[in-house]
Amino acid sequence: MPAHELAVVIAAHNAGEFLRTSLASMARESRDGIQWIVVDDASTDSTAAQLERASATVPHLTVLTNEVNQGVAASRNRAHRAVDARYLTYLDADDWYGPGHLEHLVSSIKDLQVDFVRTDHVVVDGHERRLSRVPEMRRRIPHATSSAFGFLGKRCALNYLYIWAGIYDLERIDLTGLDFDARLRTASDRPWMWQVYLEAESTAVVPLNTYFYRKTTNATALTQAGNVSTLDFIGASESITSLALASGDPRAIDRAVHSAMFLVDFHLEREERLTPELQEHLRARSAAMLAAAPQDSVDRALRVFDPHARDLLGALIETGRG
Amino acid sequence: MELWLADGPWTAAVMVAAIDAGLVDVDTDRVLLVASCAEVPEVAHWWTDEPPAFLDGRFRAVLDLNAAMEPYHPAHYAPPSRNKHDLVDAIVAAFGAHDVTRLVVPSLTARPASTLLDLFTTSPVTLFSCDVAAWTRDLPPAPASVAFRVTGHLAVPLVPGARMPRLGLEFDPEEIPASAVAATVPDDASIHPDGLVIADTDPFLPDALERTAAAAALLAAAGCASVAVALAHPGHDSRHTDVRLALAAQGTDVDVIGWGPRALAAAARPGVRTLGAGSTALLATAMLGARAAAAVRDADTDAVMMRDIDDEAAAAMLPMHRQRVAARTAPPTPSVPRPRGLRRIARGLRRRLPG
Repeated sequence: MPAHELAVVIAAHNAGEFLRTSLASMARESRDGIQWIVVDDASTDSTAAQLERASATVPHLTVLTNEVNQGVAASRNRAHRAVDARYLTYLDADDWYGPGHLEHLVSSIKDLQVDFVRTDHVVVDGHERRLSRVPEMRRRIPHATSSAFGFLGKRCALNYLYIWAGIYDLERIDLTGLDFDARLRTASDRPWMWQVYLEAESTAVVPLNTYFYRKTTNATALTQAGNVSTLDFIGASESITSLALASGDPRAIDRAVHSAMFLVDFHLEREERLTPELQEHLRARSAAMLAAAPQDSVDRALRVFDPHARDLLGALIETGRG
Repeated sequence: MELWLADGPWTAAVMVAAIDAGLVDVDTDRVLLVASCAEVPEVAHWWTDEPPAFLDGRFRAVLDLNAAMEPYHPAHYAPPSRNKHDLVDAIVAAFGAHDVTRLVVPSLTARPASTLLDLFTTSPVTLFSCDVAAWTRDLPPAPASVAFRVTGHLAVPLVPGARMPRLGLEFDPEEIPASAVAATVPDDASIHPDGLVIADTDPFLPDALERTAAAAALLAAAGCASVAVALAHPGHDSRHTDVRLALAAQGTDVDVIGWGPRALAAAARPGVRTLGAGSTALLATAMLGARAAAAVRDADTDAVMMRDIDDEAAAAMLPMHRQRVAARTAPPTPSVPRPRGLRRIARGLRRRLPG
């Protein structure tokens, strides 16, 4: 029997500027039964000092400290080993919960009796806020994870891979087999989420908009940095395609390939933020990835892109095919 | 019913003072909307968390505007036309679906007050001026379409000796006496500092903690045996405990309270001294009877000193509020154009063009 009802995992690296908001949120959401696990990933700013003070206001807080920076994936894996709860969710160190968020999460998964539940979230840019919804019209309706892949041409829940916008039942999902890929400095949550969808049986979406995601540029956000870590999406996409192929589910395979192509197009449109060397790397690796993907899925996926993207991706695919 | 909007405890205290002084209709059905414009309202200490006794009996009901607008921020949210009716329904339904016969607001141009004006377009308006921003020359005048609706303007003597701009109205404001405001603030036996630091900048900005600690030391050196810190920055969103612990880590052990009824009561205690950088909160404590001072840096010695607030010092504080005024009155910024969005627009245009 786990000691807590819910564990919340937070990885923090030089998050001092934002941590006081997330810690204030944690203090507000704290109650008996909630276990907080924060991994300080070798921060050099005020993160450690703030976490030390937080133990006075956040009960059941465990702080784990990496002596050497290991990245968010390895930090989350380390936190997983300390989880002692029935349910699991995540919080990014620069985000926060609205009042009652965790209570609603737990009651939703209990009521719906599914393996995991997903939620909408709010994108915050200063005072500006925008609601981001799970691309899934079935709300509060338990359904098979296999039906979540949808059909090409429409976005689906697999295009919304925010692990913190959800809650996971660890009696139904075996966390020991669910490590984040520590080789990936960014995008490690993508294959993790795919693995959950492929291994779990049931899921549901609830219209909860009390997760606040800070869009404001964060100097430590590798996904926005335009450096070599930005290209980790390629390794993540290759892992996802392998997972989908192993599942044998044709809709999952089509969705995996389409998602990879979508991301290639996305990054090609923004390639000016990369150095010329990295731009070349992006094109070469993307071409190789698409050449290695199931070609019938590539051809099907290509048909749902707009003409501009189709031309761009088509040329890349031809390069890859040699 | 009349809808009154208070964006903080000071505004609420001033409104109650006007009611008690008979400066507004006495026998009317009033409901109060309260709004938090903290940077992150979801985690902010909220003044209505402390039951404000001076609201008792003056309002039939109180509604949290943040909750009505959630998850959007009241300082930014300008509901699109398709959502306006839903928001009006939510507000009116909470109070029994009465007609809104008057709006009473602390601003004509800053959100969320301007949002209410945009929602209840047929209601006449009473303006309450009790924020130092109202005295700045940079405050944009109300558009004529709003000014025509304003039938009452009440103001506190917050900046003595300074003449308030007309704000686009055709008449001068009626004064709410300082004594009436002081009379609304009850004595609170639970807190008895004889020195109150008004922390009117974000306490976690660089050097802010040091400045707060230095201000507490100044008050102690001025003879205040007991000093408390009131977190009065409008955008402040952290916990009192966290500030207290951070100050303690620097060797300053003081009580830390929110800018709420307790802080107002502390400022109204006879003989209390208050010290801040220069804000509505600091001037409010002066109005409540505190001996208020601004922390100023001596140009020659670089030492921080206390300068009692007089007419000249109060007027000198006005320019520092320009930026805040601009931020709250600016229209919401449009989304940044993205290549994908521009391509979509271009495609749409091509489809509409002949040939």
